[in-house]
Formats: sequence, structure tokens, C-alpha cells
Amino acid sequence: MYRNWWSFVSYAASAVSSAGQWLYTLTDATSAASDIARSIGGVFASWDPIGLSQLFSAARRIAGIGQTIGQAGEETVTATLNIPEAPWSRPVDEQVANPAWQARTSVTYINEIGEQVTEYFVVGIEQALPPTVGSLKSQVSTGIEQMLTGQQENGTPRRGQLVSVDNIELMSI
Amino acid sequence: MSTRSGDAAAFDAKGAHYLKPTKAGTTPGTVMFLSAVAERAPAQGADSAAGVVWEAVCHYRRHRRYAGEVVEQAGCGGAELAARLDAWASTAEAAWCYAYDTVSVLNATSLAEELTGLGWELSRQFGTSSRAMWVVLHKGKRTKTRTDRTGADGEPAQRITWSHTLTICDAQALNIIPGGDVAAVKADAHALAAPVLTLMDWWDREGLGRWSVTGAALGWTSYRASLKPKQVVIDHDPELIAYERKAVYGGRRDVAVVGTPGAPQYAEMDFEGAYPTIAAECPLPCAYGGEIDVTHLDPKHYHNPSVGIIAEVTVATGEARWPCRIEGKVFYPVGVFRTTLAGPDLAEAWDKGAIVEVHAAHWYRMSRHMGSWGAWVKDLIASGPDVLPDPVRRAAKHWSRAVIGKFAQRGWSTRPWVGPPCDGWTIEETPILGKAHRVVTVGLDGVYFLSEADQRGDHERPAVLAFVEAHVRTRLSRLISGPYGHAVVQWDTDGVIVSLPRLGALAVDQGFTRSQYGREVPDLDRLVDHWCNLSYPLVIRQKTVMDRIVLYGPQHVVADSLVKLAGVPRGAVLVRPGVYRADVRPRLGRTGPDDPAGIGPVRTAEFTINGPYAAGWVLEDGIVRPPETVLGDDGINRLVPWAETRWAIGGDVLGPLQALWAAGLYRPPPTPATRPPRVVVEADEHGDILEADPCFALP
Repeated sequence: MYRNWWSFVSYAASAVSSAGQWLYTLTDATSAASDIARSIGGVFASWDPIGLSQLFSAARRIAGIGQTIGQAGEETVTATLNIPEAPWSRPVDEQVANPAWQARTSVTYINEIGEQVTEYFVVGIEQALPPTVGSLKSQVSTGIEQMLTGQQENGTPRRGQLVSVDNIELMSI
Repeated sequence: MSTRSGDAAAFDAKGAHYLKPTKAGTTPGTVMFLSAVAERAPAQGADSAAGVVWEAVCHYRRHRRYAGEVVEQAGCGGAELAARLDAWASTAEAAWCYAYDTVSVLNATSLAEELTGLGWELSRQFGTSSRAMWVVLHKGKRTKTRTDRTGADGEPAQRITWSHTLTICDAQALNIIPGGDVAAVKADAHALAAPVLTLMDWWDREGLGRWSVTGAALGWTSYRASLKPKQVVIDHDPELIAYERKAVYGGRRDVAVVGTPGAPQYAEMDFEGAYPTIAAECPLPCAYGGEIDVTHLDPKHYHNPSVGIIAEVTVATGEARWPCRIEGKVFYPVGVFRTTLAGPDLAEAWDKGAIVEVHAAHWYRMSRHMGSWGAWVKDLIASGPDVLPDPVRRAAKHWSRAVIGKFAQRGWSTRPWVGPPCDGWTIEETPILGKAHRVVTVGLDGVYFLSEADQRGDHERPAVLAFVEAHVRTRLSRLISGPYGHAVVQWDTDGVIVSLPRLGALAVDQGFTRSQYGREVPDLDRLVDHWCNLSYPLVIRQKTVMDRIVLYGPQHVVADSLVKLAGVPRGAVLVRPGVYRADVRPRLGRTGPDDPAGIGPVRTAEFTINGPYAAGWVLEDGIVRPPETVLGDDGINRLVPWAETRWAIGGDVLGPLQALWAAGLYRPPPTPATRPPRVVVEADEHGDILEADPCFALP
């Protein structure tokens, strides 16, 4: 269930209108999933409403933290954020021993051929979160910029110039 | 010379090991070669891999049942291809699959995804470079319980083994296929197989050991095959490694003039096999000795071939000859600056009275541990096609450039990682906050590994690279700064471009003439012989003669027989004056299953070249003056603004366009000159050091 449907649920739970409102509800997602199961079949033929609602809830929490971080003041302490756990997180004892987070960021940058593009990057955070939302945004931005403009040590998959970090979805793993 | 405290090293002995000679090993027994082309654009919503036409050939070079057999098959569609490769690979414990441009082939055929469906799993062995990637897949997991030991939980220890291993790698990484053959090897699996198998057969005949995925790794293995036990000590102290690394600068490169340097003709000259020649002829560091008490440092030790010194010094010079770092970039300035230099540079600076103060110095035991390897590689490169196959000679040429750089290469660690469920493969840089080194995540079918360039390499001895670079740099500097310097218009690591009319005039001035029809003409052959003597053991040769040339910077040279444009992909075609068109792949991988774009397609882009990209001040007439530095009270090097430089004070007039490094150091003209966007800069082939490349940022 999780393996096949996460991508769909993640999209449905995080889509927002131009006004910043969630575009789809769990009911919409359930209805669409039912259609997909009937029309496409294959690995999507099997699904269950309870599993889908759990996935939708997890995906909405991840999307929600992105909005929270986007709207939070620079001085907001990250420890006060209700950071969701990623469905793919590590076992609890491993999380306790070595805390880690993934920040799924939507980034706008100018690529090698001069186009302005918006793509996703994942930034890792280990042991401790930056203390405030402002420092989190600043460090994420610096990390991505360094990656885009850094020396081509054995090559880098992407190169370009950072324009903006548009969204940071933070989750514990 | 006296050490600070007897023979004790200044850096803590955090362990050390000898660089091990290559153990026994051979090339792969089962090797497959693959070519794939998309026959037609897939219909919307259709599987893009379905329209791929492929050809594959499998050579059972050594095999229990099929030794010597060559089987081949052609077909259409990724599923059929995966089934064929799976069948071939499943007959052997370890099989290798070569393609040219692995990323493109994996993208077009969905091979990795299809193989996952057939039971293959991603291993923690993978790698990427700007042009190539490789990955190892496993199949047939078996867990063996050991009876001789127990694990941490008190249960018998278990060992996981795999029945089959498939290494998918890129023939580009071997650097043996000439540019003119690329189209052929992409389209024909047999054409791809020929050079790779030639190199493999030769490798086995030479008994060089275990095969590797990249040319640099093969070269390194060949060097270790020439080592004797206990010849080179690799220290584990990260502070010592960092200190040695400070003396690694990459090659010296710049131009004397921007634009067209006088009347034709021009000649491209270089030191023949510079790095392997130094490796063959010069003693190089083989073990750390200790710290030297600088108050008792005897300058004659700078020339002692048994003692190599790396020292942090303050230099005061009116001659741009020694490198230093300013804000992470490398400059060759005049003025006063603090820098870390290796033996040959130190000796030269001392001889010229440029060393003002020695702040710290450490010594190294020296030996000719690269001697036999360097001589061997030089012989391979010099061998004729009737003696040595072309792929071997090309490989040797690549090794001659790459192997010494391995001494400064960092090691990687890989660990399992987590990520969202995923069909297919992903590969992505993953910055980790607070870590400056490179981190890459690779995932296949939802299984992820994270690889960090954070490890001490088991081969790290950057002092070796620092000494080799310094040897070549000092010899290059003798040509640039000598009596013939006016003729040298561009230099890059181990080669120069000279203006032949100027060189002829200088040759006459210096007495290098011969009689031709009763009058004295320049004898450039004799002059080049003289240069060889100056550069010993390096030998300088003339490569090409050019009628037209435009210099934008040291790595941006356009001539009738030479187009050298850093940052512009190979094969770029001139479409308009100063504008080149080339194929680029903006993205190598995708971030994950949510990323709808997938692996980036090859795109055509235009690159505008108008510079200047000089690492010095460009005057009104195109002449380039070196930057000037001043050493602050805090010990930090700073660039002097143009108006305060000796050049401005002496009356030189600055040109309207300067390279980007000079931003903020001069008053630009009221109407800013247009500068094209440029992002990509080629890596230094000898290391990972930030160069003072002025075209590094976008406008």
C-alpha cells in the first residue's frame, strides 16, 4: 500500500491553490484512488481506505510543516515546531542514538543552460536542528548554494545559481 | 637543521600504514557491452523504454562452462534487454556491463528498474563523476552463519553473500576511446567492446592486478603494482594531511595578454609527460619526518634531495612566481603574502631572496618510490602503434595525469540511508548542514545509500602531489620569467603558447642563430634545446603552430588548430563569433519519486565566450599584470585595489573589462560591459583545488 500509493498521496496532500489553500481533501483522494484502482489496476488495484487515510494524514503533516516554516518568524525556535516523522524513518532506537532530519526543499535556480527552473532537493540535518527558523532557512540556502556552485570535484549532478529556496518540508527520520 | 623536540613529529602519531603493493587479481571474466538508441519518440503515456533499440554482446573471457564464447543479441525494449543481461550475468559470480554514457543508457532503457524486477538489488558500491556513473548490483542473497565467532548479541555471527554481482560501468571513465569514435561505440556494442577488451587483455598479460571501474583507479593499481613493501607511509593524522594539502595548488595558469598577441605565428609547446617525468626522475616524499625548529633552519636543506620540506612562509616579491590563497582562490601575485610552499618552490624562493620569514616547517623523508612507475608510463606513452595498442597508450596517458592526484584524493564512506518509496533509480547530491564535503545519495527501488567524501583515504599523502606540482611549476616559471618571457603569451600547468616572431627576435638577442643563405636567422631548435636544459629533467616539445589566436584567459584559447574553452562541453561548435553550441545534460539524476522530471535529457545550449578570464589586471592594450597583495596585521593575505597597485602608480591604464575576481577592487566604466552567463568550470585534472578562475559566478 505505502510503496505504491505514497507518491500519489503525497501529491494530493500537498497540492495548494494559488490562494494557499489545500486543494484536495481525504475524500477527494479516496475517490481518486478508487478510480485509479479500477481504471489502471496492476499494482494499484489493491488499496484500503484506512491505509490511505493514514498515508494522507502523514503526507498532510509533512506538507503542513512546510507551510508552518514558511510563515514562521525568523526567531521562531525550531524546538517548538511540531516536526512530523517521515513514513520512511529509521527505527526508534536508531533515531534516539543519532537524531536526523530530512528537509525536502523546493528550490528555484538557474541551471547550466541559463533556464530558471524549480526542482526538489533534499537536505540532510544530523544530530541537532538549527536553533531558529531563520538559521534553518539560512543554512539550508547556504548548503544548496554551495552544492550548486561548488567546485566540480569528481563532477556534480547539477550546477547553477540559486535564486530562492521556496519551501522547506522538515521531517524527522 | 634541528627538529623542535628531537625526532618527535609535531603532528600526533594517530596511526599510519604502509601503502600496500597491489595484490593479485585479474580482469573480469564475464564482460557485457551494450549500446542502446531510442528508435522513436514514445507515445504520450507510453513506456519510454519500450521504443529503445538495443544491441548487447557478452564475452565469456574466463568461465567454467562458456570460456571463450561470445554471444550477442539485439532487441527492442528495456524489459527484454534486462532479461537478456540477467540471463548472461546469472551464469557468473561477477559480471561487468559496459556502456558508453551509462546515464543515458540507463535512462533510455530503464535497465536498473527492470533488473530490480528480476531480483537485482543496489549495493553500497556506486560512484558518479561529471560524465560517468557506475553502480554495482547484487542478486541471490545468502546468509551464512559462522560457527567460529559470535556477534554482539551473543548469537552466531552471520555473513551475507551474494550469488551474482553485476557492475554497470561507463567506458568513458577509462579514457581510452578517441573523440572520433564516440558515435560508433554508442551505436555498436562490438565497437565498444574492442578497445575495452584490448586493454583488459593487455592488463592481464602485464599481471597488474585487480580491474577497476575508472581509468584513474586502474592507473593507481598499476602504480601500486610497482611498489615494494614498506616504501610509502600513509599517515592518519587529519591535521598533517590538511597541512600537506595547503601546499597543493594545481597547475600555474594565466595569460600575458588578452586578445590577439601580435603578429602570427604562434606555437603551442609543452613539457612532454611532465608529471610522470618528475615521478620518474625526482625524489618525492615517502614518509613524514617531523617539525623543524625554524630558528635553526639551515637554508641549504631546501636543496637537500634526501629531505623534503613544506613550510609556511611570508614572501615578498616583485615577480609573480609563487602561489598563495586568498579567500579560497589561488593567485600568483606580487607584493607580500603568506603562503605554504613545497620543496622546489621553497628552494627557488630562498635563492631569489623572496622569503621574509619562515613561520612553520616540516620535513619528509624522500625516495624515488614513483620512479619505476613513472618511467614505465612514459615508455607506454612513447610506444608506437605497432608496439602497443592504441587503447593502452591512451589509458597510460590518462594515468600519467590522474595517478599522482590520487595522493590528494579524499576517501568516501557509504552507509544505508532512508527515503521515500521509489520505482527506478535516483542519484542526487544531498547537502548535509554543517558539512563542507560532498554527499551523494543513490537509490534503487526504494533502497538508499548515502556516500560522503569525509574519509581519510587509505592513500592520502598530498605532499607527493605538492612536490610534483612544485617541480613542474618552477620549471614553467623559468620560461615565463626568464629572458624569453616576452614571447610567452599563455601558460597552463605544463605547457605554454609562444609568439614565434617575438621568440625569434629574443633568440637572436640571446645568440641562438644560424646562418641561412648568408644571413643570421633565429635558431629556435637550439633555443628549445636550451629550454630543455633549463627545465631538466623535463623536455619541452613543440606541439602545434597556429596562424590565428585569440586569448580570453588561460583556459579560454581559440586558435585555428586549438579550441580550449573551459566550461564548454567537448565537441562544441562555433555558431556565431564568440558563441558556441554544445550538448549538455542539466541533470544527472532525479530527487526522488515525487520528482516528475526524471533524469534530465540532453539539451543543446549556447555558450558565449568574451572574457576576459585572466587571473591578473587587464590593461587598456590587453597586457595582463599580476595582482598585488598585502599581508594584514592579522596575517591574512589581501588583494590590493587597482588604484593602489604598483602598476597604477607606475602609470598603467586599466582596461574596461576585468575578470570577476577583480570585482570591488577597481572602478568599472560607467556603462558596464556586457558579460555572458557562465557557470560550468572544468575541474582541475590534478586535484580538487579552487582555482582563481574568474568566470565562476553568474552576473
